[in-house]
Amino acid sequence: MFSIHCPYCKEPRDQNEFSPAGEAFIARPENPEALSDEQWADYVFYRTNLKGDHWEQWVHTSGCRKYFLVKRSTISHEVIEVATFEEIDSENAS
Amino acid sequence: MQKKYSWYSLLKAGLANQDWDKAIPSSKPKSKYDVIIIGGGGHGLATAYYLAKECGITNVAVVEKGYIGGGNTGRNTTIIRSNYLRDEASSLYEHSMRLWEGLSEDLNFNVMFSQRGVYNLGHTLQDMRDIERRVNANVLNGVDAVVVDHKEIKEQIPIINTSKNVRYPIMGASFQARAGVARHDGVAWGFARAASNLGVDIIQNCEVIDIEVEEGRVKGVKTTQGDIMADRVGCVSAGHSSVIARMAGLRLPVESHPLQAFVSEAMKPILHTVVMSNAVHGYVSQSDKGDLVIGAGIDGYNSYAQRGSAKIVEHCAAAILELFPIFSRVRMNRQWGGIVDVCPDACPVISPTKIEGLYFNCGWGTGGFKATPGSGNVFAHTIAQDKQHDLAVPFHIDRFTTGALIDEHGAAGVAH
Amino acid sequence: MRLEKHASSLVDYTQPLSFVFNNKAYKGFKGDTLASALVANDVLYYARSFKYGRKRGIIGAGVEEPNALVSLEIGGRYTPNMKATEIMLYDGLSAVSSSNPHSIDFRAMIKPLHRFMPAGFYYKTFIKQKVWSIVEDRLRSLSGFSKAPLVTDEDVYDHIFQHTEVLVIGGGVAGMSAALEVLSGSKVARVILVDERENLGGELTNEFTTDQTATLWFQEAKGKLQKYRDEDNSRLKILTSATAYAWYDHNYIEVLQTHGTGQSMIHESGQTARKVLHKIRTKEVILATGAHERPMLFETNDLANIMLSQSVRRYINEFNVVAGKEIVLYGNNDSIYNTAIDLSKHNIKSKVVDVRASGNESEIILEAKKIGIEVFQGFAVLKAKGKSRVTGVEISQVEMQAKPPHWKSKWRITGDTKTINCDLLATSGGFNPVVHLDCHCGGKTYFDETSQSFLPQKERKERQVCGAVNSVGFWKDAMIDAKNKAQLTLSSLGEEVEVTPQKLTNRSHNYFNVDQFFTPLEILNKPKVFIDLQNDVTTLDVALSIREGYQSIEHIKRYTAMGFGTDQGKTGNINGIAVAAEFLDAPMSEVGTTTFRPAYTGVDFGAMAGREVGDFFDPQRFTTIHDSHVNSGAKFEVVGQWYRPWYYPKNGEDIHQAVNRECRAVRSSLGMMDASTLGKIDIQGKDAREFLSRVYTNAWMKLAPGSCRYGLMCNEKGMIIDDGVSTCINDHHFIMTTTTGGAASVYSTLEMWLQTEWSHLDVHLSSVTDQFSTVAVVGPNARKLMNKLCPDVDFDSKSFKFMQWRPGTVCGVEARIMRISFSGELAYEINIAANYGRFIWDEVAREGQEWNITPYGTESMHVLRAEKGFIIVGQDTDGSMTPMDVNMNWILAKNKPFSYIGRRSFSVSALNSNDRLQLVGLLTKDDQVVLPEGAHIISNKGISIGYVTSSYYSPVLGRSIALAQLKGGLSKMSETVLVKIVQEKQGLKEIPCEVSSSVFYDINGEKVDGNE
Repeated sequence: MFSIHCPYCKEPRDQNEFSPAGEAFIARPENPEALSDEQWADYVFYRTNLKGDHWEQWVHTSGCRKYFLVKRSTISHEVIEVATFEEIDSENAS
Repeated sequence: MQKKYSWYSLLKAGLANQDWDKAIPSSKPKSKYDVIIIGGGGHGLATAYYLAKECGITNVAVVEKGYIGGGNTGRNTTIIRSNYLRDEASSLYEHSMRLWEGLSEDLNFNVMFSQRGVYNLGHTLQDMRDIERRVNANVLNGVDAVVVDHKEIKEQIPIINTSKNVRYPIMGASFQARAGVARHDGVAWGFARAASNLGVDIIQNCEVIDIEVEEGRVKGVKTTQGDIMADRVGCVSAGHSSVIARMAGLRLPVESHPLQAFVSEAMKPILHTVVMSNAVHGYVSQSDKGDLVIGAGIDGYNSYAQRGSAKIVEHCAAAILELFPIFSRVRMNRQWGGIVDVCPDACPVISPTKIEGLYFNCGWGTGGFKATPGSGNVFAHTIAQDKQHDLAVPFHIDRFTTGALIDEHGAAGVAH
Repeated sequence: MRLEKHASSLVDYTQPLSFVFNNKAYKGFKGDTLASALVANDVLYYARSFKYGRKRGIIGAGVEEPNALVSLEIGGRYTPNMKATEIMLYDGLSAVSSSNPHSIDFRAMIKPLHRFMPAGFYYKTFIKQKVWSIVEDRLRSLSGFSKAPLVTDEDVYDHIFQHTEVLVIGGGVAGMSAALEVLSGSKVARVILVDERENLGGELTNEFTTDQTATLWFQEAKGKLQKYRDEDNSRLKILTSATAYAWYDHNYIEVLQTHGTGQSMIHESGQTARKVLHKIRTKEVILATGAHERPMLFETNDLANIMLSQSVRRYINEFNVVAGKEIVLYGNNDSIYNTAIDLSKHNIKSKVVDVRASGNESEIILEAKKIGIEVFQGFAVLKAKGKSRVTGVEISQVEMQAKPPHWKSKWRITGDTKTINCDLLATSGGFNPVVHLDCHCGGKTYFDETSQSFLPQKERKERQVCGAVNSVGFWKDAMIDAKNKAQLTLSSLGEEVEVTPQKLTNRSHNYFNVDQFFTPLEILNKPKVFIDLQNDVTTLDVALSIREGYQSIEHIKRYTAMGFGTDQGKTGNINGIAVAAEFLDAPMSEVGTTTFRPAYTGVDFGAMAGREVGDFFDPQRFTTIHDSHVNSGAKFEVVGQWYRPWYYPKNGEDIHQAVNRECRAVRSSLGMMDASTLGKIDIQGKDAREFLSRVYTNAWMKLAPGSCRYGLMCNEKGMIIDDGVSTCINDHHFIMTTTTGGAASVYSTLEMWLQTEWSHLDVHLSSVTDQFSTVAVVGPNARKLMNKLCPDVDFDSKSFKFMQWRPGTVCGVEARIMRISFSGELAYEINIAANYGRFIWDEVAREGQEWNITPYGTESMHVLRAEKGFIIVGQDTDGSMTPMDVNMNWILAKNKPFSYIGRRSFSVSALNSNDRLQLVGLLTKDDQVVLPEGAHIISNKGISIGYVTSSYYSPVLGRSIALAQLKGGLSKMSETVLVKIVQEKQGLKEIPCEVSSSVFYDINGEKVDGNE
């Protein structure tokens, strides 16, 4: 049962208030029609599923309802960083 | 050759200080094999067994990073059924079911396959429509299944709460009589013993750290016990499939999630069958030892930690009490988690890959145990012939590109 | 036997209690456990063992007890598998052995066969499936402990969320000291101190008999803690009878507190929760969980009255009871001498057998000798004598042959055996730190040579260990250790403390100085040397497991069932590891432990569920109109969490009669329906149109204010996930409706797109499902009624067209009136603020009487919409249907600049196959036959080519209608197909049907304007 610091509410809250929302930085292609079927499938279905420090999306479902980013170890579950989408994108994420 | 298990051998051993052969010899890796199987769980060991038994390939190594059967094989709630909705899935699971029915004899090892039947409960009108649809599909596919109403459920399971005055009253169920449970560890051990009897090397405490690929062809694996060469490598590493795929530069359409289960303390027999309910999120059976074996839902986040959230387990306990209020004072003895690799269409991948000689068998999600013999069987043939077994064809990884998904989720929920 | 009362006893002799055990009446006192009261009454046998049915006595005094399993009470308080040692006695208690030691037992009867039933027996036999299926049920009846409950629990359970800075687990000397240190060292830190026992003090109580300073310290510390607890704005909570049983991620720890075991919790003033599950989130953890003693191994070590040394001590000191008169203490560490000395204080004679050779005696050994206790040093017990209870021990001289590294040293038996008589044997093989909790969430253990035990890993973030769990045994040292660790905790919390670790006294006698596990092969190779008493696992079982190749400790556990019992191997597992190490000829550190998992001790399902049972299992959602539906006699259908009226039977109608009547009323005159449960999302912002265009497949840029439009929503896979009508309030404001069941997921999906991909769009979403009630007025006479109800809107069909909306005042209530229809009839949906829902409903019902307005439920709604071929997402589609599959290509916008969600997937090959399941209508050749929903359509080869999704009798058409998914169905119009009925009870039947359009009624849409 995680304790997650909501970057909007600026408080640690219980996992019960949040929902996980998948791997982060999977940008929707700007022009889907220009993609091959393989590229499109990669966007829709394929995942890195990283074992290690994983950037992912969470939403504060029973709180502010904001989506935000969490860098969390999928090995130890330790939360390493939380950020808003304004603060971090796939370019500057470490 | 190992000594056969029989009444005679039991008697003899009983008189002679239990002198038995090693059921699971521990091997050190050779430098080269015809086939390497990554993952010594039920599926991997079954693959090796059928490679040796049915495909004539005995120069096989199963490499396992821990102890055999220590992953999801030893962590599931052991339910075996084949009443799947889609033709592709039910054919595969029924193939497996038929293998289960002769498995103990085939392996000369009692895997304690117990056909106690499985009830999949329906609590809403839409549940019942889905059950009708699925049962009809099953029967047409030669899978035994019937729809039963709440009265019949009560007759068969007197302790279940079929009152209409509960939050989710039981309206009916599908019932598969041939379904049941098996002794999960025994399945891994039985396959391991039988495979090693046919010449397969089972190498424990041997973690794969890299996959050797040259010019699009697999060459072998690097392990913590040294390099092992092979022209064909089958990956059956469940929750860690993405990790192995990454070593070969591949990505998979799977995500790894925690799946939890728990058992109660052992009691005298009270529940003789398996009861599952998707609507309330819980499933339960009673083991031969007497404990209630209960499966909970998956956690939505990715994890490789083999543990999940308390709320999932607690909600599951509440679900079990919704069905069986008499279990309120029964105590949970132990809970645990496994790592399930989930495909977007809730169906597995049994497939060659872009890399020649590298095959993946993954994405079984929460339904892998029941498929163990069938999965191993079709995967063995797929590797041996470098061509998918007929039953594996729909489970090609390319289905995510072509869109030919086998959406086993079925109805996405009532929505009117 | 009950002893005379002494100072440290927790038993209150002024409060006698009566109880019944195995149908016999006994007396005990307040403060007793069931176990201590039975020991006082000289009860020897408590239960039978799992596999061999051997009669067993009690060995422990706490949660480690493997043998004494009982069921408590009957009826609504019946509780299976309680340990007699964990039940605090109360008046009128009634308990029964889980497996009666005094009745004839099949397992014990087949004793001569036991040699043929080694570990793994069942894997090797009954291999034929048919044989196994017969044998298995017989075997099942032999297994299990108590019978399962048969009556619903009469008690309730609570959950409490707690937040704290420091959680101290364990209320012995270490835990108490740590808590005090934190409280005095910080002005702000909150502390929760939990202990599984009813009283604080832990094992310190055992020192009171011999050590006055321990008593004084305890009284003072307890006083201080109570003062902290009782002060205003207290920072201290003390939870006793409370077991921390699971540690989850991010320092979330679950503690189960017991208020009652089996006594009635129903009082005049109400009902008290039997147990409370405290869900504690803490910044720091101080583990002071102590240690469990482990038994020594020897032949027939399972006889009754063979106990743990520390337990014997606890029974004397806490409960004033002792199970024998002639006592032998046997072990490999100093704790046995403490017990001997305590026994002597009560004038009970004992002899000590110590495997350690003489020389280098600690002060306690010298003291024991001084007061005349007979001590056999360098001796071991080889065998316990007696049939079912111990009557003596065979001992022999032993010596350890040292060999480097230390683990290679071997014990050897030298010399002859001799017998000492006894009626109670108490053993101590050292102590196992209670590391369980620390390992639930990633903590590791390491093997410590000195104490020959697995200790918690040294450093862990936000966690300290102190006292016996840290292998610090002497109470004064535990106190110092706790203070030192508490300072580290304070410093980790950011408190300004000077961390000045004090040195331990390093007293010479220490339970944690254990030289070497005493596992000579001469003993291990004997039969009936039990490791796991509950599951009857012997040393030979472990040996066999290893011989057969099951060599990982996890394999050994799983092959032999060692540690699978209700005690979870608290006493036996470490011995099992030592035995495995011996047979594997490997160090214990290499063998390692099995994984520690929650729960540390059993947790009632009821406590796990808390109040989320019965009506509170899942929230129930009712519309504001619900009471009117109830008054009208509605039957309800559960949709998502909502209770929706299903149909309104009148005068004993069945569902078919009611639905026929309701449908006819709607088609011929007027019906009304509560549509409040549909999801409603308020969408505002200047990019609202653009947003809708992206998430729906059709065009939204030109929808005029005052108009409504139907939309179909897909996911990126191209599959339909929802549908509904959205209303344009103004250019920057829309209200989307969703399906009832899809409301929550659609809302969160929309938010996800908006926040994660399209944050540049000026769009804001609010879920307003609960804010509005919706009353649908449906039927040819709808306009007439609306004119009556709402004078300020012109309902003329030329000015208020289909798919438009108008603001108006209905019965004085501000309303949005949408002219939309899910039945094909003229229909208005009146949306009002939720609070007015029932008022408007009742008004509509009253004013509509002249047209015989008829309320109808979801079932009639389904029939009416099916007659028109309108789909229900989730019934006619199942997450794998595209808009093309449901023949709705018309709703796919061709020229939207933005590639809306799902569009790209429409072009992948499998979605364009002619063989896909497509939605069509089915008309049975016999028009009175109603197809069963879920029945399959078969090809001439008998293979499924589709199935019936919706099927009804249409009263207005006087025939049955159905919707079905059929492979390539859209190109099979007018063909005849067979629907197969497979269920036996209906007989095998094939029903011929004609494939038709899915629109059955009013094909040209002429009804939508109703009657003028």
